[in-house]
Amino acid sequence: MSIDKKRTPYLLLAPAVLTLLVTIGYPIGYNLYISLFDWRMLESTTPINFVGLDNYVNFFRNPDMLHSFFITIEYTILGVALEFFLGLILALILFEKTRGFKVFRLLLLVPIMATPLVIGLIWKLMWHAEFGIINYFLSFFGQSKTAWLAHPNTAFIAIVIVEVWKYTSFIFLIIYAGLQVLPSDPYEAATIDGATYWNKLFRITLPLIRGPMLVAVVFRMIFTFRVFDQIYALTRGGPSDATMVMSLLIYREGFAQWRPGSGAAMSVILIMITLFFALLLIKAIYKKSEL
Amino acid sequence: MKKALFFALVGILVSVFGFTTGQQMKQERPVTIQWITHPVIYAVTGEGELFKEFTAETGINVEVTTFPVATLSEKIPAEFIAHSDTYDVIEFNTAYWTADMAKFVEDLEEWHEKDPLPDGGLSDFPAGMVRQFRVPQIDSGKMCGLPHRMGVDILFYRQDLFNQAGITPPIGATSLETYYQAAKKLTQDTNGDGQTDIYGCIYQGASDETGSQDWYGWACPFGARILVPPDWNKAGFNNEAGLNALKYRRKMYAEGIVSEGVLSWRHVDVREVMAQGLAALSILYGPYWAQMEDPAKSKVVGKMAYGVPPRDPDIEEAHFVRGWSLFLNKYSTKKQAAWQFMKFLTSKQAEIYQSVNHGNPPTRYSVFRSGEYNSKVPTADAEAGTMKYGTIQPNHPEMSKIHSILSKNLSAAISGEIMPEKALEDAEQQINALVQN
Repeated sequence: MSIDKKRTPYLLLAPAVLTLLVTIGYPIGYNLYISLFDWRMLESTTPINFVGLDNYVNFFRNPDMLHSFFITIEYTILGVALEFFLGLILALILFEKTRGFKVFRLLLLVPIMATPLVIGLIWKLMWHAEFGIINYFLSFFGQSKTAWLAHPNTAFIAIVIVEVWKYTSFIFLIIYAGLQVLPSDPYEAATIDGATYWNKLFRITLPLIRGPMLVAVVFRMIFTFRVFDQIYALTRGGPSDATMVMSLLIYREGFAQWRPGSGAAMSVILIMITLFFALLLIKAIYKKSEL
Repeated sequence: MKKALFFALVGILVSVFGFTTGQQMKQERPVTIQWITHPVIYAVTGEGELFKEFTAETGINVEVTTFPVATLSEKIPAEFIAHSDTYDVIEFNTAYWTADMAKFVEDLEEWHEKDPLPDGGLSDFPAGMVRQFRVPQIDSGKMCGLPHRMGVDILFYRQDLFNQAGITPPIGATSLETYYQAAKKLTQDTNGDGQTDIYGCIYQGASDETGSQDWYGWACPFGARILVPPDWNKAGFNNEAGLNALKYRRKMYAEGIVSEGVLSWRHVDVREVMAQGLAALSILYGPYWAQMEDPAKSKVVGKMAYGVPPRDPDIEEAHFVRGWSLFLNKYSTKKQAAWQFMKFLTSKQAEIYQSVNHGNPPTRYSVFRSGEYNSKVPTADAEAGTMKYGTIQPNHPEMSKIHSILSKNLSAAISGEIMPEKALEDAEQQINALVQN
């Protein structure tokens, strides 16, 4: 192979790599750098108090930060679990091409197309204790007014419901696409052997779409763990930090209280966790392709 | 080669032409300054109607950018830190202004000396209001802000409901117990469906600075202080006044005298509930009267009355002044024009326009005393009566974190998660650790 042919791929890749280094690499590197400082931005525009790993250690010692971490874990697990079950059921129902399935399929895409911030603002009005439409409809069933966003427990449930409402269709889409490409032979053979719908579902369909299900779940876990917009619009992390997910805490630390060092350390921890989920996804995809 | 030279020459000619035209256009273009503020404040200028006179006289155009309070609290420090010259005149709020930001703004007293404020100058502004934005907060401190929309929290109450119930409103030198009793009597289920239709009281209880400021409006008149003046290096709210204010808020919440929604409500929600006729009493920022008396936005037009909120008669500095001031960005490239605009916006005539037509609280003695203001603004007497007992708030660099700690604990106590005593103790401990380090 000539020297030019050896160099050419690298030369062609160079602009893209440079762009990635500037737009992604540099911010990540700088973020890591400032995470080693106790930086009060209003006092100085450059980081001045080097503290090493203290910001990381403080994360695990600070009860507010740990609380935020566990809230985020709970939110992610609950939200994604509900999205998965609902998305799977919807995909299976619509795959049977029931009457009106095309309209339902289209309607299911509407939540995912809307901006998270706008969704948050609309749902905030819907959850309003005095003027909200949800309380209005619940009153027909004899339910008294609930201040959904005012109590820690109900506020948490409210944000999970919004999350599920918005992103169930994402899981539905991926699983539905997976169902579209299933081979028909196993089903024909199963029918001949007298298998019922449930036999086919648990013995053929679910095992065959394991890959897409896993991809959908892990994708959602990555993005749900980093949620910000809709919770900011709904509750800003309240009441009493009951919905203070990590992204919101990072934002508050970095941009409301102007301590970017501490915020940067938390964001690095958040990146590590989402990287872990991403590695799970890669492993799942590799395992699928090996099969 | 010849072709390349030709194109190079054309390129140079086009660049030179473009540059000189641009420079000429720049010289001919009138001066335009950028003002960043809150939408409500822009609204009190008649959505810019007021500026037409200013632009006609001075040739200075004013472009306005508005953001909600929470966004301003983040955007303005970001602009300062970036040494940005995007905005020339900056409007900022007592809740978010801290002494740390003094280095990013001009000393307005120096500007006043070179080019004095009209209509009586600085002496026409209450010294306390000006002191709020001085660093340090003494009369000789650097004057960072020019008061533009400053007021006090006053009592808003439904006169019609008080008349119906035959009780007197809890005005002035009275106690929170009287306030509570009045609110309790006025809480009503008007249609017998078992649901409260009119709450006796309403307040902001969101677990952020709006909630802690609102609680402070109940606690300060009885002797609580977020930080103890003049050094602001110690919490001063864990006392009988602070505890009482918290206990009454918790009691009203538990007894359904306030809506359960208060724990997520900020000023927009509280104003809306009051204007929709769902609450009988509140202690609110004075300028909010404009929404109550606006037929397009309110169901209680003509039914509201305003008074001095409850306070301990032995406390002279009882009601904290809060609001917005104008700041001159140190990095602005149009400071002269910006100062002209600031002088105009806070002149006597402009303040009368803003207060009489749009409910903006004035910041000049001459406007407070003017017949026009007193005859047309329903809160004039209440504001004057409350301002007599006015005091400043701290502008400590850690105010944002202080409010965050305080509001979280207050919210937890109101909802019943923790006892009020523990809430204030925990908040005091954390805040003292913060301000003493």
